[in-house]
Amino acid sequence: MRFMLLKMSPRTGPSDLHEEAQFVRSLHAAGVLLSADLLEPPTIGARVEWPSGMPQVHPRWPREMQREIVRYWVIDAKSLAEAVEWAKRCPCTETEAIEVRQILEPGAHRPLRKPMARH
Amino acid sequence: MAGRDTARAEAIGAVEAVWRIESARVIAGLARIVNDVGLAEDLAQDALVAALEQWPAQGIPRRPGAWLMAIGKNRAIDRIRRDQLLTKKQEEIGRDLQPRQFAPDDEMDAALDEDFGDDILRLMFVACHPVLSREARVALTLRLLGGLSTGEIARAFLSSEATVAQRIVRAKRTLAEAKVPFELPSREDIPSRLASVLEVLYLVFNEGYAATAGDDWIRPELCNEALRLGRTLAALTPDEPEVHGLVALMAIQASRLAARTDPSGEPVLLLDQDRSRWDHTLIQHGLAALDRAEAAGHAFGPYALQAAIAACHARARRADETDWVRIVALYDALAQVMPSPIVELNRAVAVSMAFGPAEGLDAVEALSAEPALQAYHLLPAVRGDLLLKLGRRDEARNEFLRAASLAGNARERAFLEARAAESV
Repeated sequence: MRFMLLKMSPRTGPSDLHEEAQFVRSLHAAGVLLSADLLEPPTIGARVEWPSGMPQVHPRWPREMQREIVRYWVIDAKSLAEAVEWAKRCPCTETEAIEVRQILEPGAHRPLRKPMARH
Repeated sequence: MAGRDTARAEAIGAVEAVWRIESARVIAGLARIVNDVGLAEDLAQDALVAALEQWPAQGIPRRPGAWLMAIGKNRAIDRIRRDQLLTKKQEEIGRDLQPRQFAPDDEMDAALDEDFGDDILRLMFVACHPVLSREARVALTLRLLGGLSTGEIARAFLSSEATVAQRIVRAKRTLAEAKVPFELPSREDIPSRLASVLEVLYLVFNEGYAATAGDDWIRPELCNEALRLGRTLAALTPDEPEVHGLVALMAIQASRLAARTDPSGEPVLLLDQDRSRWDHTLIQHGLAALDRAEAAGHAFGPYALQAAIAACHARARRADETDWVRIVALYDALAQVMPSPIVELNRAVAVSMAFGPAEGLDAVEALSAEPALQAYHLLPAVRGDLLLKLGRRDEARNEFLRAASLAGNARERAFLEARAAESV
């Protein structure tokens, strides 16, 4: 199963990149890391909305949320519990959070796999 | 009550998740201390039992890996003390061994992290040691590095739990009797020892790949496990081109898992597959791994060459965009490093795609005397296919019927008989 770990941060200060690099190295060494990306701040992005059915582009949108996605990792884990365990290993401050989301299996009409059970 | 049961089930799920992440590191760390992989695994299992007893009630410790390691170390000391009790007098022991219990702390964490990569590598080499049978290497690798239980391994390999348990016990004993040290192979042994590790990973992968739709979910899970271990190995040995080659091969093959059967479970041939259902994340990973193989070595080995062939298919957006000329060249190279009649037969198919059925048929005819292919149903099947394309229908029909008579399973036999009927 694939999971996306989304790091949410209020961007009050730079997080500890050294510790985070260590976290990413451990994902890599465990063979579970599928991709890792840092995101530029929203000022470099844009938001497209459809308030009246027509697309409207906001190059810089007002910050509505306390926390924004600052980076994400895609990992291969056997279960949600394993993905959560990895998320717990990510260095975070008190104001940051990791959202763990499962990615739908690509191109599959296979039945959903049952969660890992140890006899 | 129900709430408490749910909480307990969740806690056990969390213990299993920690075990999946930490078990190989803990076993490897303990093996470095006791210099016996079998004993290290027993100690780690003791630690797992302790965790299953304590964590659901007390919560998961902040450093679960260090906690498991500390329990394992304490059990190791208990055993040493017990063994010494058998040989030494009571008073001598009191002097020699002060009761010193390890507690999980930062120091333990550091011990886990320090060189743990090399420990994992040692563990891989020992689990795939040449003193062990191939089946034992596979079972031990999944047990020590995949954190799979004996029951899971048994189900994955359609074997009984007792058989697998015995296989693992015997493998551990063989390693102990042969006094296999917990060390990396010497420089001159690395190529052959690495080949053994790669072979085991590819065996695990193919066992999962061979599983059909109705099989237990754990069988296809073997593909993921082999891929994960392959990526770990590649992270630890970044300069070995064949490691990247195998990762690339497995990733590209696995990318077709969902597309290779239709909704009713019938197999779909590569060229007929719906390419939008290929897993493009895995394809990207495979192609990137192939680039790393290329960067790491001047000449491709068998795995990288097979990956390069698979990559030709992965890169083609439509089947008719496949670069068959390049595939023929890659098969030529593969036949050099891994001479095999099956490779030659695949090459003949590629020749027919690149240069036409007449050229392909010449290449197949050159193989017709090959003793290893006499009972192989795909030789007449390929010949029948090429004859049909050349309009030689009667000959084609005979070849398909011959192929059907040699086919190993009912589904293939039916497919070939249908092709024979179409040829008339």
